[in-house]
Amino acid sequence: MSTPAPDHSALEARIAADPRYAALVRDRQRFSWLLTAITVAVYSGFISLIAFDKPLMARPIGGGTVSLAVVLGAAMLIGTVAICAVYVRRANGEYDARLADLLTSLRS
Amino acid sequence: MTRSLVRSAGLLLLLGWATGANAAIAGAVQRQPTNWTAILMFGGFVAITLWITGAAARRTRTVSDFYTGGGITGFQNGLAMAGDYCSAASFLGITSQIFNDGYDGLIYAIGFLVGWPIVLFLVAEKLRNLGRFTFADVASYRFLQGPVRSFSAISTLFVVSFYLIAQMVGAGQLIQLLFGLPYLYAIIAVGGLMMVYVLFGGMRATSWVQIIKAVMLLCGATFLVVGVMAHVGFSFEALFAKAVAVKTKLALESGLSAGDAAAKGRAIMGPGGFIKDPISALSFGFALMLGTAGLPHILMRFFTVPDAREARKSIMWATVWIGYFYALTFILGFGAIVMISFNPEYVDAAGALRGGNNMAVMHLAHAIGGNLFLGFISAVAFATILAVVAGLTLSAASAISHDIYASVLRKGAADPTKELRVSRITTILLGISAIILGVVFEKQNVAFMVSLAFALAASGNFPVLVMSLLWKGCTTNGAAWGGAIGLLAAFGLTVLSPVIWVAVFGFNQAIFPYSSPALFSVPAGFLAIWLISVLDRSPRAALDKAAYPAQRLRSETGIGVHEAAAH
Repeated sequence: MSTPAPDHSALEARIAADPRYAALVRDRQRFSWLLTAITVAVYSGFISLIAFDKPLMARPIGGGTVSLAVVLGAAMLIGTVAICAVYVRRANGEYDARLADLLTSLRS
Repeated sequence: MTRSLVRSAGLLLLLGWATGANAAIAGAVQRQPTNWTAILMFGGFVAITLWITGAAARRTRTVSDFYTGGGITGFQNGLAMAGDYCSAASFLGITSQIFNDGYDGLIYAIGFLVGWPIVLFLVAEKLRNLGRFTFADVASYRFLQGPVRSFSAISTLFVVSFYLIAQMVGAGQLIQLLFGLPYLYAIIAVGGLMMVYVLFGGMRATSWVQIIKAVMLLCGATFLVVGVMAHVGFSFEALFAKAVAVKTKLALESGLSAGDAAAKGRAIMGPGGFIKDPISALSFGFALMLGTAGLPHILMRFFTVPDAREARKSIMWATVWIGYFYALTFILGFGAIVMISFNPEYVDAAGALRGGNNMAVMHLAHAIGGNLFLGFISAVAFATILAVVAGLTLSAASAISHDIYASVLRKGAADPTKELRVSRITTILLGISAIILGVVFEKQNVAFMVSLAFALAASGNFPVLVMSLLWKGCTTNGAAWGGAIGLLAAFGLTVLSPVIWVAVFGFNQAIFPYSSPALFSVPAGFLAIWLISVLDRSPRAALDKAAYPAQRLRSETGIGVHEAAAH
């Protein structure tokens, strides 16, 4: 099951040789690693703040009861959804369009 | 007291549960009286889902129907993923954790959510483009099938077992509280219904059970949050201020000085004892974050959508709903502090929750909406457990029937009818095992069992998936043995850590001092895969590396993708 169907092989060879394919893969890969790095860094930072400076996190914001920890926690929830939206928008938009162009031009 | 005893005994008799229920009645003093609303609402859920299962069963003829359910959209799959992921363990466990300790529960929730971008960025589209039924299809794509699939299947069974135990224990506690049924009966009911869904309806029934449950859970939790916010005048500041006042008063009553009590009250607004040292904190965080990308029952859901585009949309929606759900649980936990802490109906003299230490949100539902709403939320929580265990069982069954039986034992040439039969027999065996495990682990804290499953998934499956997808040099031996080393490292370190070595075995001092192994076991998995692959000079290793460009091309373009839709 893991061998590709034979009728694809000619097309696959053309794609592999096309510089637009290499560029697409490189761009998408770079973008996904960048967002991964941001996610890991922000999350590690959040956890480290909790681990290293609990008094800071517990400090109320603006004289009320709501603490820095609650605000940052809410920002983490919203930010996580937002970073997914950024990737899906670009991948389903720009990258998919480039892939579709590439496939159309090579199939014709 | 006596009157309510007599009443519950009468209800049990009416229901024909009298045989063997005597012991339960003796222990039922603290329970809620049997709640007919809950039973009716849950009965309604079961009726609808069984009807769907029946309809699905008529259309489940091929193995593809069974494993993928014939294809759904990204939006539907996102809801189903949320339904699969927002387990009863997190609904009951996180709200109760916040009820007890305040802020700490949110740390759990954020860790659960932050795994989704990682799944999206690193594995989702490639997974969809390469795989067909299980994540092992992808992990073993260019490798010798036997070793890599065997590793994946064993790893799946480990991860699923721990996750399943948590769900079953939650189910038992919940039904005990709600129906006044003995724990054992509750577990058997959950195990039995789950077997029916998966056996007859396969993935199609499982998906719809999860979608319906997700909608019910999100609506129910939203309604509860509106109730909480109405109670505090729709002000977050008021909610938190009241919660701090309640905790301060409780501390004063326990005999602390005014200053200490005020400090203890304020402590719920910041991180507390949940994270003790930085290493444990990071380690635990990485287990949650990377574990999501290695959970077999979540990864399996990508094969229910037609292509990578819909796979990405699935995650987008899943993240939206899961993030929303965790925001709700945070508010519900604080709402519970404010609304149920001083009510002897919900909390005993020692300040512990009646009915078990995971029941904060159930009591809150009763405080806000009375028996009617307790009934609804109970039905939702029960539905949640069913939906999650059905997904877990399906992924474990496919690991055995598709990965072990069809791909390893029959070398990919299994008779589809026989493969379907094997998956159904496996489902029955898994259902029985789940019941037994649920009984054995009755007294464990359920949220902790889930984090163990995440650590295993992060250390075994995740490195194997990433290395096989993104590194040309990965070989059969590297993936199979390296993954096994990561898994064993996570398991071994967990056994040696305080949560098992001290709490279960009763030793004084843990050999491994941190509460989660991931910070060590995930790198161990990656390192082992790399090292074994680099040292691998076998002829097979050369084949593995040579097959990478073709795999890469398909993973990036989706050419030759297996469609989920049955034609």
